Amino acid sequence: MATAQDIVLIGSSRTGFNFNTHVWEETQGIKPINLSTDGKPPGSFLDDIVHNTSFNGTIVIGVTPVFWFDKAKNPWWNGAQKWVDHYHDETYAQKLGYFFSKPLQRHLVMLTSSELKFYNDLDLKSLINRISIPGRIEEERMLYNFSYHDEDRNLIMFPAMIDEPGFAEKIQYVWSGFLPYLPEYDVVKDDMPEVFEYYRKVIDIFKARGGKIIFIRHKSEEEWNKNTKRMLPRDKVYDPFMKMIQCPSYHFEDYEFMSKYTLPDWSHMYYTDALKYTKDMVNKLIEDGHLHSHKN
Amino acid sequence: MLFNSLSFVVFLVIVLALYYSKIFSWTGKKRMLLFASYIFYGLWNPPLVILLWISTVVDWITGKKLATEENKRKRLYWLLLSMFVNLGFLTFFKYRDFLLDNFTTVVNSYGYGYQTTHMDIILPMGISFYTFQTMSYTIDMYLKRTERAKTFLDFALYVTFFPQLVAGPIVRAQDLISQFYEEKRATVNQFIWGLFLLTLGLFQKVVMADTLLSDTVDTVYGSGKILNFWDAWMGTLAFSGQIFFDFAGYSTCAIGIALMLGIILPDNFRYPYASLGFSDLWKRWHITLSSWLRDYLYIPLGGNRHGVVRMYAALMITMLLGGLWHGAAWTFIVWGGLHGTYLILERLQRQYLPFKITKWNGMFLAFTTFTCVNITWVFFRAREFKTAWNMITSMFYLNPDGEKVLANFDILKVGIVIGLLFICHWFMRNTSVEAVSKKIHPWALGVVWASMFFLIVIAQGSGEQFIYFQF
Repeated sequence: MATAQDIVLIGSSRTGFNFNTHVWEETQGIKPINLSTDGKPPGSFLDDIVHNTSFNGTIVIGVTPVFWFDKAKNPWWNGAQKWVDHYHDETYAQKLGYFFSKPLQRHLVMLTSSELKFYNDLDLKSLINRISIPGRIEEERMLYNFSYHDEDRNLIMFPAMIDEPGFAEKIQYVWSGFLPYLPEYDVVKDDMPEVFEYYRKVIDIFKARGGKIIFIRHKSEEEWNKNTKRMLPRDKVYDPFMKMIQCPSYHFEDYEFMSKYTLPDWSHMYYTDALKYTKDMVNKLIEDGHLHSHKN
Repeated sequence: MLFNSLSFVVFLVIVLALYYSKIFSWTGKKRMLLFASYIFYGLWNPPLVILLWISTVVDWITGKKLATEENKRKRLYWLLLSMFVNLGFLTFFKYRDFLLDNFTTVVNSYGYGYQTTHMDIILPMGISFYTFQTMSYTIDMYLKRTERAKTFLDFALYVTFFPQLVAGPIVRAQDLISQFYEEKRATVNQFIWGLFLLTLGLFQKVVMADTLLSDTVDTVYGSGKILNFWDAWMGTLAFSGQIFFDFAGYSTCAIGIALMLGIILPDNFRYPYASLGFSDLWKRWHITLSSWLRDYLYIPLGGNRHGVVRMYAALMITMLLGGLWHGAAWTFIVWGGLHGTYLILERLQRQYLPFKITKWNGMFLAFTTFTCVNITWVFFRAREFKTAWNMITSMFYLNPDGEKVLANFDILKVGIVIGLLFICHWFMRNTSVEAVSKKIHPWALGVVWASMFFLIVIAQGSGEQFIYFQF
């Protein structure tokens, strides 16, 4: 059961890649609970924590603007909602299966398989689906897996992303396939009051019971940064939102330690960089009085 | 607990180790099996084991009374009590919202502003199976067709025996309870064959249904679009394969697991997609349910003993209720109605246009039957009439400009899998896996077995629930 001293990380894949809970624990003395979700808006987690628990500790939210400023309960939310539902509906048989699978996963080499259906997964379905006979429908750009999870759900980028020429470009190619098609700000601006209001209500409830929320806008580069700025300009979306909700926030453009690393795929940090970034971030939060050190 | 899960593998190993250890007497082993069956069921949702207990106790008491009571009226009351409890559970948990919605629609059509609130009740897994199984005992006792179970333990184990508790086969009392009277041990050959059947069943479920076919079905039936002729047909053919492999896979696992304990369960599928007509289909598809419906519904409704019209009415009512058994929705009733119509048309054909089935027209007849069955699967899978109608019109080429959602490879994959399935059923229709296995070299069987095991392992199923659990 999480206490008022506990820290919960929510956010999308950038939170999973960029923060490392082991380093966080070494730096602050408390291991945060990592609820980041790759490829999904994380709003369902915040909603569930606020409405279905009495947790009043600290929530650190990693903001990927295209996910965070999405209208609440859009179909896109379903992915994370399924995870939340699984947490509530998990049967004892499933819990038992997880308990038995942990030692196996620690000691055996597993063929990768993912709900995101990566092109380079190695389970039978993925291997079969690699066969393609083009011509009937427009084929989607296949996303390659470039990370693995550790037991605390930290995402660790494959060394191939910096060691193997061309591997990172395959990921960038996928991003280039949809980022230029993100809508202009004028198309989404009318949704913003509703999005802001939804979060304001949820955050007010959480703050009223003594909870604290800290926002982190992790770094993005190239196509990710360019198109995010086009769709959701900081001065019209992020800054007004932070002003409204009155929570501490850290934007990578404002801090050198947050923006100094090069992102192999324009969106996520390499593992060794993530370790240093986590340490710097936690120290900064302690220094600013948002977190307390629990190290003896 | 799902057969295709790691927790079940551990569970089964423990149960087998205890079953074949010398620490228990036969009664002790039965107690262990009963306890294990409650664990098997309770790990899904513990409080719902209480329903099983109530059903077991009520039907045990009913059976006990029916064994000694000679007064016809009192016998009838005991039977009605059993049916009230079992069908009451079924109605409350499965059909309550459906009945209430339809009642509301009818009442409101007369101008009343009646509103209902759904109770959001969990459907207890396998309730349709175990209530039908336990009702067969009390009905048979009432009709004096079976002996009373010797002990409460034997009866409770009959109701709860974990291999077939959740999705059948629906076993009659005389076929299962009597097997519990004397100590059972699988022979080495039985144990190995049971393990082979468990592997075959998991292969059908994990590799064939979940890995090869389910995505195509979900893409087509979840598209929400009016589809192209080929996409509609391939999605439906994929579903016909998925539901067969899923359900036959479960039955094969159940039969295999029971055999590893030395217990024989009846066949539930006999190559149904090579059926020569619809009477034949229902002797091959979900055999234990169709025989249940025949014995406890069709025959009591009059069967073929009261003229043609009554027979057709009995046939249609049986199939409509058979459809409703599968799910609380009108689409399932239409599915049953279509099968009832097919059966009536087949009997009319036999009466007015009889022909001899030969080797040559047989395959055509089997193909026609399979095609007609696919039309019914649309209503089984679609859940909404709008989706079903869009699919049917596309399958009859009434939407030539329908959208394409499947890639060339998906069409090829489904075509190959379903083509092989049909051919396999055709060549196997008069034999069995066991008979074929005895004809081939053990090395060849070993290679097939190892290949299936390897494919199950690399499929890495994510523990998808069996489709029939929801019924």
